[in-house]
Amino acid sequence: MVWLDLLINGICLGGLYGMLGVGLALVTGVMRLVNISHGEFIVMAAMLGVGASDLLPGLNPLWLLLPVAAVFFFVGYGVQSVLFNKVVTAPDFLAPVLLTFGFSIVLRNLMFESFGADVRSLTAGGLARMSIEVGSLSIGVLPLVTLGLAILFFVVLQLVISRTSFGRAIRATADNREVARLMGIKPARIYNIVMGMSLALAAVAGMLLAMRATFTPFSGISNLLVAFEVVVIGGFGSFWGAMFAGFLLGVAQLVGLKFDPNAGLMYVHAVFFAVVLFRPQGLMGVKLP
Amino acid sequence: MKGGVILVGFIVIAAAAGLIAPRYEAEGALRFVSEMFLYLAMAQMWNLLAGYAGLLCMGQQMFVGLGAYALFYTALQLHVSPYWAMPVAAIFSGVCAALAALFMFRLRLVYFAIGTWVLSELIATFLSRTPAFGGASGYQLSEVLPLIDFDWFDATIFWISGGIALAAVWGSYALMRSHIGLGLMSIRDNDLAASSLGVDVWRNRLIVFVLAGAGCGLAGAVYFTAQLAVGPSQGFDSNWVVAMMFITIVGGIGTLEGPIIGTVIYFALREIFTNVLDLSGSWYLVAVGAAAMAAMLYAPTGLWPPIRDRFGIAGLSVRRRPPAALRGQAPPETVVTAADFKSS
Amino acid sequence: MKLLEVRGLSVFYGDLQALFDVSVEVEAAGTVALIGANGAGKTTFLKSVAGLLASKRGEIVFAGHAIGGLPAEQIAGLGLALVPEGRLLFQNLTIEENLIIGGYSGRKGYWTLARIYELFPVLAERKQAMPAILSGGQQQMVAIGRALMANPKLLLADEISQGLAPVVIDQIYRSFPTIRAEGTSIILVEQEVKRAAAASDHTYCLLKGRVTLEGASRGLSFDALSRAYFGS
Repeated sequence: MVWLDLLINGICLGGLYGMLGVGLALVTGVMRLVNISHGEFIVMAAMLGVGASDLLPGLNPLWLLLPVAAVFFFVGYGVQSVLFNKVVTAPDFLAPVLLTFGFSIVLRNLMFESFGADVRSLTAGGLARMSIEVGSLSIGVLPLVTLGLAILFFVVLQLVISRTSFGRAIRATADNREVARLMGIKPARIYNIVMGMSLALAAVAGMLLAMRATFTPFSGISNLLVAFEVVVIGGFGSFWGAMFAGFLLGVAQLVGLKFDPNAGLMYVHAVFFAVVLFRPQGLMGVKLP
Repeated sequence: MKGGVILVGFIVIAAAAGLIAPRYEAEGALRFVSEMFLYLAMAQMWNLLAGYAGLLCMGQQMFVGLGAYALFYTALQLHVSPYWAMPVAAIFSGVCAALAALFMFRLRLVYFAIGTWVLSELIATFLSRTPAFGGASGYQLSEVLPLIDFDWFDATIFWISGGIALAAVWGSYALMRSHIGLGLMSIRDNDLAASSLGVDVWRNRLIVFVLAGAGCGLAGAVYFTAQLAVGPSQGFDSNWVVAMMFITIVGGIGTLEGPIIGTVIYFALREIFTNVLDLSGSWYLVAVGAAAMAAMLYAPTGLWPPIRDRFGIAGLSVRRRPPAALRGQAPPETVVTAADFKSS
Repeated sequence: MKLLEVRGLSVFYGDLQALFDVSVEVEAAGTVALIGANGAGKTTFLKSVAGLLASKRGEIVFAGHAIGGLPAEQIAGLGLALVPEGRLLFQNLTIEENLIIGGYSGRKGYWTLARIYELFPVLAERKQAMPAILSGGQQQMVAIGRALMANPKLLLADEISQGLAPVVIDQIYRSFPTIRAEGTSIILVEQEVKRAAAASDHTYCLLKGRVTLEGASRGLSFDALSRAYFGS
């Protein structure tokens, strides 16, 4: 039963990983930008969550999810509007990468200067200790809630993209920006909103991550790498691929930790390379751009 | 003429170092300049990759760490002086680069960039959890210290570092003037067109990737020899690539002189922040990141091209000039055939 | 008042000048043919009027507005729609979604989704399909329908007969009278001279970025056209 337990918890963790990845996948798919500072925003949201939680000690941090996500929606809108929109139209791929890379360095070290290297986390209080019995298994409530939230956000995102008129505009802009302009669509505004959505998702993922593990200002790098791996394994442009990629990596992480407690994210990275080597088109078979 | 330019470049660095670091005594100055030489070499490698071969490698620190680890492992296992282990570091890093290329080259552009970063983290984590390779604390040179003559240590490191930097700059120049370099520049400008002409895109990139890996490995090995110790978090620190990137893009990506200027600026900034303004190292990194952002937004070509164009300095240009008889005429419709690129 | 007045338009791609002092007029409810060989500058002209090319000099006045400095998305809102060369349908959207997004700017008028399906019945059968599986002619119908959904005052049609069989081209041209009947002006860019001249009131000919001929489509002589098209 240990295996089943690992599998279920791995999937719950995987839901989180999937959320980390889908935020990045959104931005990559729509504006061909790999936001290297994505990881730092995840950490900043966790910091904000910790700070808010300290100010409101009686409140379960889960209630803070939506407010923090909303804050980061506007942060994303602003960052895209002021900074990233200047490079999304650049013909070479170097400028956006190095801009976001430089930004990640700035954010990471500013956080370190402001908050120090202390590890922090968010306590979900009683919820973290609760578990439900299914047959002979004991499954934590918090991991289940996390998985449920991840799936919920996924479904909502998928519906927004495929069913709403705004989602249509996003897909058109992602397909061909110039022709989208001919329809009266303002690409810059679409990008602002998409980045806002991306960081809102990152914020939720960050807060949920903080509820299950500690973090420091330097955790952004590993978050980015996991998000990136989810995007690549998931197959570029498939949101459900990202979800399943998350599951795969989540299970890999927990199985790895069981046998090798000091290995950190090593097995996740190893699985990533295995997929790159043997199935470069990713899980959903979408060709690399 | 070209050698003169390089010599001038180094005199400039040495002079700058002398001016910037008045608080160091003689040994400190040697160590300081040695560090600058090593950073220059590494940045030149990164520049070769990103500016000439079109390979943005954000995990280049893996070769710094691998080279250092190879040196420490060899020196400690064989109980030899670290100087003898330095060539091993270079070869080992080069081989690792060749192996990594096998699967990393499947990823394009920015996915390659981050993929190499993942690989670096994987290797670092592996070393950290494996006591046989030093575990989380890494290696110390303590056992072989008696084999090193410490009267000459700083000077030897200085000369080795200078040699490596010189080789990095001169080697890059020679490479870019060769047919491999011509192939690379055609790939950089338009890889589809280049490959349709018979330029073997991936073979050329592999050559540069291996050379850059070996170069960074050697530089890393020398750096950590001077430190007498190496650990996973130092050897594989992502701040290595931060430095290489800053130096390259502020100095001038895709030029050979750019990294020289960039190195001087990098160290000048560091000294100003940490010794003059007395701020912690993180503020310096904030400035580095902000400068990189500013460069990308406002001056993506770096500082060297405007200076070069303003003063008409030829420097280490790798452009080819038409034969004397044809100068002054409009260039003919050049027809480049595949024969020009088929290498030996 | 003319619907569109272009005066002295010069367009640059970097250092390269593609259009030299081009002047064109379109009447309200009129149809203008713009002909010329490959590379003459026809697509450049349409793209500059539509607002996709920023590097230009000269004046463009559309329905009384000076649109020379405006971005494409704003010009689209004023009632100008471009059917781009090569169709350029949104590959990730279904046929119906492609048509619907044509109406993004919210301009109301005769053209609705139902009326587009009336004009091109074959599209109604394929509304949930993706563009890639449609034939060239059907894709062209979607592209035109998409532009019409914006209820434009002026439709710019860039080489809509490109790559299509004559029978199919006829079919598409048969939709023009209905389009014109609703008061929409058209600029028709074509390489095929006879068809374009037959479908229009006025013809302009471009050669290497310059207007070499303009006049009523009816009275054009073969000789004059040849000289203007190919240069003498």
